[in-house]
Amino acid sequence: MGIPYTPLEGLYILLAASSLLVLVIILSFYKKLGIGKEFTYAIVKGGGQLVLIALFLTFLFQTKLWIFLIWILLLTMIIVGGHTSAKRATHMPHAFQITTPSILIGATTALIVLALSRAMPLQPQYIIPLAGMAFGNSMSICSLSLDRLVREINLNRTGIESMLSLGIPSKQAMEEYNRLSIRAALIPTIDRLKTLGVIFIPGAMAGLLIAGTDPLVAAEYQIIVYLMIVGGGIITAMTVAFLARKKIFTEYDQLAEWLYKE
Amino acid sequence: MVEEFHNELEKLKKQVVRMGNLAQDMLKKSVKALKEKDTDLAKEILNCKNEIANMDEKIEQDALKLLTLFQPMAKDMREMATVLKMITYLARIGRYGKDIANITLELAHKPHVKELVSIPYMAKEVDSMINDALTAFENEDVESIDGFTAREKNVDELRYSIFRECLTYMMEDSKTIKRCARYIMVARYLERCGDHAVKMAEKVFYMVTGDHIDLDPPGPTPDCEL
Amino acid sequence: MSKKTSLEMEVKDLDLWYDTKQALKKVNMPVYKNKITAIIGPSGCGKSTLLRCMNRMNDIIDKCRIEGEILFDDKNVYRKNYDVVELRKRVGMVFQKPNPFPKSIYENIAYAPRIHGIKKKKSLDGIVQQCLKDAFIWEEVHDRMESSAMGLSGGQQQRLCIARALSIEPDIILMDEPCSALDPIATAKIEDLMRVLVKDYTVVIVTHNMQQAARVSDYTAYMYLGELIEFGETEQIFENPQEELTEKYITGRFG
Ligand SMILES: Nc1ncnc2c1ncn2[C@@H]1O[C@H](COP(=O)(O)OP(=O)(O)O)[C@@H](O)[C@H]1O
Ligand SMILES: [Mg+2]
Repeated sequence: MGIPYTPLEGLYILLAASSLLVLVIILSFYKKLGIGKEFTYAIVKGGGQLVLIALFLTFLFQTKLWIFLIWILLLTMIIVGGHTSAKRATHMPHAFQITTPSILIGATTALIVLALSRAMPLQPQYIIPLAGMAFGNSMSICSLSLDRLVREINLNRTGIESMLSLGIPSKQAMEEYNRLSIRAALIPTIDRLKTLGVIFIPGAMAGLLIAGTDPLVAAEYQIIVYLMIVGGGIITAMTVAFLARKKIFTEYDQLAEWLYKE
Repeated sequence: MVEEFHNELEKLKKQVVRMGNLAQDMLKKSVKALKEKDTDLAKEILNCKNEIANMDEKIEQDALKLLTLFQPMAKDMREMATVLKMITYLARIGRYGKDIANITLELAHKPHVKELVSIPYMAKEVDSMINDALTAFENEDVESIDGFTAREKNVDELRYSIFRECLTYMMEDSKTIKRCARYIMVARYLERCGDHAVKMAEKVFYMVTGDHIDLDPPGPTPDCEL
Repeated sequence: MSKKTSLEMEVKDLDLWYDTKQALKKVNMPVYKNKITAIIGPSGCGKSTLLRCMNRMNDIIDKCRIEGEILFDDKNVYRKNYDVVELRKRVGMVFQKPNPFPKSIYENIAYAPRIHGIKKKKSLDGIVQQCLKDAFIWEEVHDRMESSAMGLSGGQQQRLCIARALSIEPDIILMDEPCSALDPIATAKIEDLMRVLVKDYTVVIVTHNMQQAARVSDYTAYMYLGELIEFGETEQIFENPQEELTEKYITGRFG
């Protein structure tokens, strides 16, 4: 079952696969695409991170301490996710105060539902990849919605000011833009949901198929995972909209200064 | 734009001063012609009639054009308003000069009842008032119009004293009536010119300070039976 | 003009800093009830800043510091925990560029009253009609209430925005250069409208157009470099300003 080779054999295969990389680099150099350097950096960084996590996982799967260690992993996921996403709102002060809780709430809710529905047995082999998916997805939805929200607010500054000047509270004044940003953030996920299995075989299912699972079970599982991702995503986007109000408006319902720098 | 307006306004004010000098001249010369029975001089004054009317017309048109184009405010507006009022008074003063010149021509074939003294003296007083009002306008300085109230009263007094003097002559000798009636009219004209000088001084005061002033407050009129 | 006047609002010793730059310096200004007060002065002198202080719409906080007070109903609107949403219901604002909501004409007016709790269609209809009539635009739009406000001309849009400001029944209406984007005819209509509105409202208008200030306002404030140089009855300011700076500005002998 699973992938039929040992780590050592895998390394040879990896080297073989790397020839593709070399080809790309040569091609990039020859065609002056200017991506060779960045591409190499990304591959090395991403590959390195993967190998490190693989080593860590190997250790984790074998030790009884995983109950504690997994928290460190989850914590890292949420902090890295929060900060990465926070960079979307360039001028918003302390944007991570919005992104971190939003990702946390969205992803955690999804994971708890998964755990309660027993779709995710409480074993590190399940928790870690699923948590990775939940956090990763929440992070990208968080970025998308925050980016869109800030952009919408900026585009409609005069409209919002008109509303404020009519004594409309900031909560209602930004309602429409909240809706827009939540919808916009979910578009990629929903599109992917629609084309599921047609355009591409999603990660979890690919993994399961490679691992030799019955395709029907794999599909079921993928749907469960997707529901979790969409659900968690919506919660994340809503939390972003909810929390962002305090950053976008001042205590006295004025548009905040940083918006003017965007 | 604004620069242009201020240049135009300066030009306009210079024109007003020139018109003022002409009016002053007409009045002064008309009295001189009357005193000396100089009919040539009187005719010369009649010829100025058109010139001053044209100046009045031209300045008014220029002023209205500036008002329309620039809609001036504050001091600019007050200067424009003063210009428009001044030219009316100055045109009238010029016309009185013309009227006195006409009287000169009417009286030319007869000697004066006696040598004219009071009328030239009164004319000098009035002329100095006109002169001071114009100076105040030109220099935007209200100092020279300080004693106008008293000077106006003085001119009024002079008119009534001329009137009383003429009454005596007319009662003594009815042949003087025609001439004396003319002298009384001249005194009346000069007194009106004094009034105009006072009015101009008031406008200049408004132009410079923005405040309205009454330099000819109603007081007891000199006793006289007309 | 010197009918009985009472105070609607009072600016007292107001200082305002944007970061280190002082934009308002010890400004003292009364706003009289049922009068139009015009604020004039060169660009950047703080007119909009002062206006926006009056309904607390100054757009910046962290680097904006305010000292002094603005009294409205005997209360300082800069007091801590002052309810600004309530303040803005009573001090409406019209902006420089006409900015109707991208909604129907009807919705533009009904929007705020509905949020403020008026839900009955009939009441809303009444309010919409009244506001549009009060803003002199009913005749032009009554047969196309459901079409988008964006289809109106600039002048109509601005009157719609005034109608929108009326929809919350404010006491004061603030206008920041409301005619600067309009042609002379649309401008004249808004000026007429202001003279009518002032019977029921107090109006404060910022304008670059001195003739406009002279035509429509009862009181005029002249500001320069964040200071209020002169305040007085409009006739006096434009006929006989007491301060040399005002005189220079009004007659264009500036800088
Ligand atoms: N948001 C802001 N941040 C920093 N400075 C500002 C800001 N808004 C206005 N200012 C400054 O304050 C001054 C007054 O501006 P403003 O009230 O808009 O002037 P006005 O409306 O008279 O043209 C100007 O010098 C302007 O540069
Ligand atoms: Mg402004």
